[in-house]
Amino acid sequence: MKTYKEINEKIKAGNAVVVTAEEIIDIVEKEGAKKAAEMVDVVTTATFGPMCSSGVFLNFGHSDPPIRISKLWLNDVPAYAGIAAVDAYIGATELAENMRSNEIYGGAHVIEDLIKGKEIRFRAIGTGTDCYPKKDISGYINLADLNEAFMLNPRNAYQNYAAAINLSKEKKETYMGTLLPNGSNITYSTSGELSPLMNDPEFKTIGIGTKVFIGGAQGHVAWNGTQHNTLKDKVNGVPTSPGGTLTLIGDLKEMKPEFIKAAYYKGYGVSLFIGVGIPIPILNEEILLRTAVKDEELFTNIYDYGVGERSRKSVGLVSYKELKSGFVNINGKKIRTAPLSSMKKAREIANILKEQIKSGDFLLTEPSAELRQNTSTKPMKLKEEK
Amino acid sequence: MNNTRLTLYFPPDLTCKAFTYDLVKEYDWKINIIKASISEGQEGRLLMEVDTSSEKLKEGLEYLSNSGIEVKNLEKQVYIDRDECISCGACTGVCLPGALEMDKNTWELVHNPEKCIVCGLCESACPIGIIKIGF
Repeated sequence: MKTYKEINEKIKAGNAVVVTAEEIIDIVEKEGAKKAAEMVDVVTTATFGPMCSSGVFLNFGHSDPPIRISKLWLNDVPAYAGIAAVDAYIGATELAENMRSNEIYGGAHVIEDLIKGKEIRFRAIGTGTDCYPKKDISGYINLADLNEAFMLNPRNAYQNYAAAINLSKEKKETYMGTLLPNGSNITYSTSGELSPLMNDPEFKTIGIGTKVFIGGAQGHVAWNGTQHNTLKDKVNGVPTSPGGTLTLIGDLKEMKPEFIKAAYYKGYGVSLFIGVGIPIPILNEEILLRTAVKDEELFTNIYDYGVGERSRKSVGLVSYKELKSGFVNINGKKIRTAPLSSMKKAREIANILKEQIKSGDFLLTEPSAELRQNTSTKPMKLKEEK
Repeated sequence: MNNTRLTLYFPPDLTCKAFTYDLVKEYDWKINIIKASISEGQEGRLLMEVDTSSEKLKEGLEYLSNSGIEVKNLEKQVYIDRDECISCGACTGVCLPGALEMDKNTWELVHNPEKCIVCGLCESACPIGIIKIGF
């Protein structure tokens, strides 16, 4: 048994033993769980995938004369300004107005351009009040000009995600990529045995306040994510469909372009790749054993995205070992599989986080509260209009 | 014998001539046409796999060059900006011939141009828009 305090003391002294969630598998196999739990202090997990439910809060500072912004556009992308005078939120999936036919630009691109330090065209209107007389304003701003810019993502780091197939006769362009007709390909989007919430499936260490790597910055878990569901069917203690989620927060000014990337899925729209890394303190043997989970022990359902309904049929349960092999056998047919989240970048993040902890640049934070438990996701419940 | 993938570019005034026939009859090219795009008044393009001896391949290429037809190797048809590529893998899902694959150890994108049929699906499947097709 170890405590956060003891682990942080070892990190500060430069003595902490830190390994990635892939490396821990061999260590546990060689040394056994008991010895490995004593040896290893922290296991790093990571993912780098498209996470649509993301965006940034911005504060622009006051103009003279001041304006109470009611509508705002950044590079022609509408940002939500229905909060105090010069505060706004730009969502990743918002599309630019007046785009030319072959042009793709959205909130995710604004966020990436801000991180890259580019100048952004700012255009705002207000109603004009006694205390905020100005009615319109425009010009250019960059990230350094802003008072605050922090990313607050309502749903990141999904604990597992369904794999996708298309059994219809037409090609489908989806947020799960291009799905060829007649079940010709399967896509999936998690880093499996390296994925944060797959390695702490019961949220024993990941809670509100946990310090995380987000987009190259040190951020925190702010809350459970939207659609956080702890009651999904499980195999080996891990959900076999989308389960827990996290709301993450981090300072945009500390983020790096290599860990935040705007994306566009044809026929679906704009999304944002986010690099997330979460350290798991090895407080005891039970926590350690969870981090030693392997791709062959992690499963997901394959759903038919050829059906445009909420309740899609599961075509089958498949392990991440099979998905990552490049082919899956379904009813005797060998079907090509492809990832949508980058294992290469996830590994890079897990290793960076490992080095940051080893060198004392990243201390662990004990959660101030647990994430919500025993909760499931409801469908939309609309009452009829009268 | 030689298996080579080539793209032939026909200027507008040459699209009506039967060069493929000459290549088969006179130069012994065993041709598998993968993709063709010729419209009247515009440049024509023909992607083919050629099976012949090195000597006959060279002679046929000379014939095409002397006739005013530009020929490019397939490697130059698909451009991937490797500096920007994040190796997410989305393009590999639509590449059924296996020209784009993930290395199962490094999880980096691997490009095998010799398997490419220039279908163009990878270009639209790439979420960060760094694949460009030249066909």
